Amino acid sequence: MIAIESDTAACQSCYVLRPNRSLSWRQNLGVFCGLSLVTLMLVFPLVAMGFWLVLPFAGLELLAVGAGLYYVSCRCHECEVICVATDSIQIERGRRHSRQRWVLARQWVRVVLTSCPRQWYPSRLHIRTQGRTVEVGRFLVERERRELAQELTRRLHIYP
Amino acid sequence: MSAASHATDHDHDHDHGPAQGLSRWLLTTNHKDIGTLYLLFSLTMFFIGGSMALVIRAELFQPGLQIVDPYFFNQMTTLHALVMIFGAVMPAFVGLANWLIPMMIGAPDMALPRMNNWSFWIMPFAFTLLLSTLFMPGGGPAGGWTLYPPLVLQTGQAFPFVILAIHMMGVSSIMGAINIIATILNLRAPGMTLMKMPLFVWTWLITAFLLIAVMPVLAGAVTMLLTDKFFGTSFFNAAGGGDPVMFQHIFWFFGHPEVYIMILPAFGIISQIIPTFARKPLFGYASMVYATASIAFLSFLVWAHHMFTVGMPLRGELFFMYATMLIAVPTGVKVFNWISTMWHGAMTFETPMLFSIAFVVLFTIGGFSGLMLAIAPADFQYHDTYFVVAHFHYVLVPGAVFSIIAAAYYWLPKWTGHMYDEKLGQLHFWLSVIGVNVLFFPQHFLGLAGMPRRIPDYALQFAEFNMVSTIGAFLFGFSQLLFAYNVIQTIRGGAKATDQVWEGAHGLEWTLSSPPPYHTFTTAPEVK
Repeated sequence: MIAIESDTAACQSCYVLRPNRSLSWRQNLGVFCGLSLVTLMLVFPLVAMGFWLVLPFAGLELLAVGAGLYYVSCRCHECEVICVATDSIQIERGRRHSRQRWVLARQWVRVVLTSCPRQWYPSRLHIRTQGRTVEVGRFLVERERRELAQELTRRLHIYP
Repeated sequence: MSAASHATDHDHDHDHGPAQGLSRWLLTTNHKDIGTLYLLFSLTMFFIGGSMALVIRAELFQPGLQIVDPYFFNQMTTLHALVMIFGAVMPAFVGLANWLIPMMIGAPDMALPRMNNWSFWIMPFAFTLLLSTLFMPGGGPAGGWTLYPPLVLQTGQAFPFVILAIHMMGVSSIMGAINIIATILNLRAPGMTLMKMPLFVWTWLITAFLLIAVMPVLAGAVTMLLTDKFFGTSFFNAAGGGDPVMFQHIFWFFGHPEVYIMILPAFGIISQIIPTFARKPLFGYASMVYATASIAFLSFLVWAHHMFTVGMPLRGELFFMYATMLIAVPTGVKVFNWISTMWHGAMTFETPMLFSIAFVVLFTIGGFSGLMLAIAPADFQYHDTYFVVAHFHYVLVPGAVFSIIAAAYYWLPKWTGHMYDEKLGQLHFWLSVIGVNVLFFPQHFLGLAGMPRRIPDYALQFAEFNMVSTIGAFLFGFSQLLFAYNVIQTIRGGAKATDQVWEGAHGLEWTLSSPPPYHTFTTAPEVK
């Protein structure tokens, strides 16, 4: 999903890119807690009867479930912000806070959209300048990525 | 100042394409590739497990010992069950989930693609290990798939390998379940609310929760068998203060939900196919979802109906008897809804629909014989007889297996872009449906007359029905070669399939091209 904000305080155009997600962080946590509760409710009576070897397997499994949900949830909450200012492009990536940040000189920037032969893999959108490359919008669907490429190209063509 | 170079610039992109040949399949993280791998693996295992069944039926064609020795016969019954349950039916459903769930919910792929690759590639190693036990000193496992101690502890050198193989299958199942839960909950397209999800997705979500809940119980149980045999513990050893009956409780606490793990996705498939060919929306969508959840919940409360004869208190027998009968209510809701969907529908009878109708009729027969077995005092007569064999095969073969075959015919044109041979499909259906009834229906009579299960030889009064059953087995078994031939021919070519394939088909997967692109949903799907 792409949200566009124009003429913010710091930049002319601001593109906020987020992946599609259908469950919030809190709901994921709820699912994990519910699943853990049910599993442990099933396992603890067996442990109480002396069949304790079920417990480490349940623990390992819940660890794997938690890790899986955490990883997916983290990826679904990734956010990229592309700010086009008069003389620079600022790209920030992170979840709650900016984790990575690039500032590129606007006059040298190229927007490069590369497609894979026979469409085996999704296209990739790179912002390149003076030997530096930043990939953006990996999590977007194909049409959104193409639209973003066109929009960025158009925006960069407009003289500040 | 800036320039956009588009799809024509491929010079730097050759490394983006998937690897060719074997490494493509080894390293793939694409849900469609992995779905295909699962389905082909399952088909292979179906034929291996089926060959074992034919060895069993060939031996039982006549009374007396003709073809194999009794110990090998027991290895065949044990491995047939393990291969069919863990190698054929479950991987087939996981393969269908891989192919269909992302397409049905509008996701680009599974949520954890690398884990998806691992969860598949564990399976061939697990089954190579399991099948290799047949060649080990002392032979393969022969104590039945339920692995009851102390009998199973008499297995030769194969024992630890069998346990390791079961652990590997469990790990694979758990990884598959985690992936399915994470995908369905997190990657639904905008607008795809839970109550808009296709029934197949719902049934798989509930199945994945069941898998997560019960797999540690199986893992713990088989590990305790291992420690009893090799490390001197006495979990199930009566001589050391343990209790072998407790193994049965623990095993069936896993085993009964496992039975539903093998049938709930089948319910989902049938709920997709019947509305398409009845050209009506599914009757009672919400009640179908609640019925599925109820069946899953009740599956935790009925395990001891598998062991009424071990000597339970009367109150326990009554509880498990009534709890088991309660399952007939949500199951009845499902059957009622399928019939109501067909009622006054503009029905046509293509191969997937024929298999689906056969599913409804024959699964209901299996359900009714299940009700008979649920009656505790009557179960004392039926227990460990061929009546039980007939019951669960009616549930699993015309139930789970027919639904998988129906799904293959239904979605094969979408997957391959080619229509299958309808005439061959219908021939396959009629041979299968006749074969399966000739195979399993006489087993009811054998069981009621008192023929025990898992025996290579029997008294003369059982000869006729056994002969009929064996003829049915070979008819059913060999008719599956038509299915394999039809599938291979459809993959290789055939009449072009349209994108919607079936006139009455609805759902996001039918909005994609046939075959769908390697990466789906390049534009966000619109959920109505």
